[in-house]
Amino acid sequence: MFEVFIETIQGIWGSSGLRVLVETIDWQAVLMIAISFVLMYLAIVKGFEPLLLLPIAFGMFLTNLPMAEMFHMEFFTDPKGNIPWGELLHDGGLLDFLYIGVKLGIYPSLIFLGIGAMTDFGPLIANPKSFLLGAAAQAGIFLTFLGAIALGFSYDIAAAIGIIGGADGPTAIYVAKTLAPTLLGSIAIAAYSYMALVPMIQPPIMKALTTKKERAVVMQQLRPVTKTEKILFPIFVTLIISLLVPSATPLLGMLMLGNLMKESGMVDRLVKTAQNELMNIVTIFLGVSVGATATANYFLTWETIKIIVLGLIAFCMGTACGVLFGKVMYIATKGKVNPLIGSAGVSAVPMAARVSQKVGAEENPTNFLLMHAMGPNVAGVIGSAVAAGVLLSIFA
Amino acid sequence: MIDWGFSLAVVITGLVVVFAVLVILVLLCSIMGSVFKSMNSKKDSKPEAPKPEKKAEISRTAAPMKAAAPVVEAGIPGEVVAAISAAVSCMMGSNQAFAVRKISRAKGGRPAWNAAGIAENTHPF
Repeated sequence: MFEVFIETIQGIWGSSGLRVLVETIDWQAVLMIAISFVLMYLAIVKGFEPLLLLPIAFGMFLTNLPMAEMFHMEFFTDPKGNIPWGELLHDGGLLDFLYIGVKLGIYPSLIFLGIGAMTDFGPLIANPKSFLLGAAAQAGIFLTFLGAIALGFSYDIAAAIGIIGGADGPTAIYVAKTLAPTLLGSIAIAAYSYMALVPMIQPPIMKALTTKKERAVVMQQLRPVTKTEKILFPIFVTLIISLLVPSATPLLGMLMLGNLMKESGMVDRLVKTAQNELMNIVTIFLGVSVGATATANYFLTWETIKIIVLGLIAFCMGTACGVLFGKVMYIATKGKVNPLIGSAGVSAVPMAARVSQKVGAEENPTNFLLMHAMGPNVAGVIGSAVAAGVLLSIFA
Repeated sequence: MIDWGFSLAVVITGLVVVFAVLVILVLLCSIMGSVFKSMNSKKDSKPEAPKPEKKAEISRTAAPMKAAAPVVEAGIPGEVVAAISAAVSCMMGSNQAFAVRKISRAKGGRPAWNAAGIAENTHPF
């Protein structure tokens, strides 16, 4: 009886992760687990994008546990994008199956459906010139692309890194899963971390590039937008963008579908599902599976450090380009546009618009820029999706 | 070996395409806006015909009131009218005759309660 007990304990010990950890002492895995704890701390205690950072951090924790066999990056690194379905079904772990939604581009598109169902394009329709600010802020993507090339990254990886400057998590994931699957974890974590840090990154740049007089500009009230305009907008935008940049259609099509459902006012149940249940389910799957890609051998590299630095540069460049274009509009309109709304051209909805509001209110507490900044903010979502489409059409 | 010519071409192409697509959307929204504006203005101009009669009615009823009481904008309570009249009387002095003809809200500024409400809602940002 005692022998059976000992053999059972030996069997459990032999297949345990603790044995692997003690016998092989994989310091890289231990370090990755420690990093996941830091990210969990940032999400829970500091409140940095907790809805995504928490599942990402836990996915990172799970994937680095020895012997758990939750995720196998090797299934998804084929240069031609082929997935070994037989092996996957036979040997795959839970996170491998969840990751298929990322690999096939399903989760980012479904997240865009939810975002569309929550977005009011009214400020953008009322002031269409806001589109230009959304376009200007995308310059950060392309300038960072050049920086990444200079640091020795290949073209496709440089494009995936540049898209961090779009400040749009789902778009960054959508591009990275195709152009740089092995760096998806690093890119997603950089993108979401900087999005959480928008209130700290943007204000110094906005203040440095604008004068007190420019920041104090009070903008005219926006015209009311009719329901018909709001219904026609998603249809026309989908039509135009799909015809011009077809590779942006999955993201933009779903964004506009969600918005059309909301504006039609006829499918409240679907809108509520897209805004809440579906969005939340997909957020969990996306977060955990993206975190799972951050295994030690792919994450603990110089590339990750370079991506973190380049991501910050991309954010700063996007903000600066948006504000500078805002200044151009300030001059062109003879002082009617507050350049601070330009920084909201990087997506990060609605955080970037809130930052414009906050910095504007510091100069004039009765100045309410929030609705004016929402125009470039949602234009930034469209702009970054178009930029992603352009990069995918060139490099995918 | 980095091909900077290709890299720059990607940057320029990307920026041009993003701007071009969004400029098309600017034009589309502007056209849509102006079409709807003109449609709304047509709708507004149609029922304008009976308006003069209404105005005439108002002026007819307002004329005899003018001598007795000031024209007060709807929503301003009698106590406020009394307080304003008292304040004016106090400032003008009792020797000078005066008449309050009209009391209306100042235009352009945001009402204090609205401003306070907006400030409250946007404060956390």
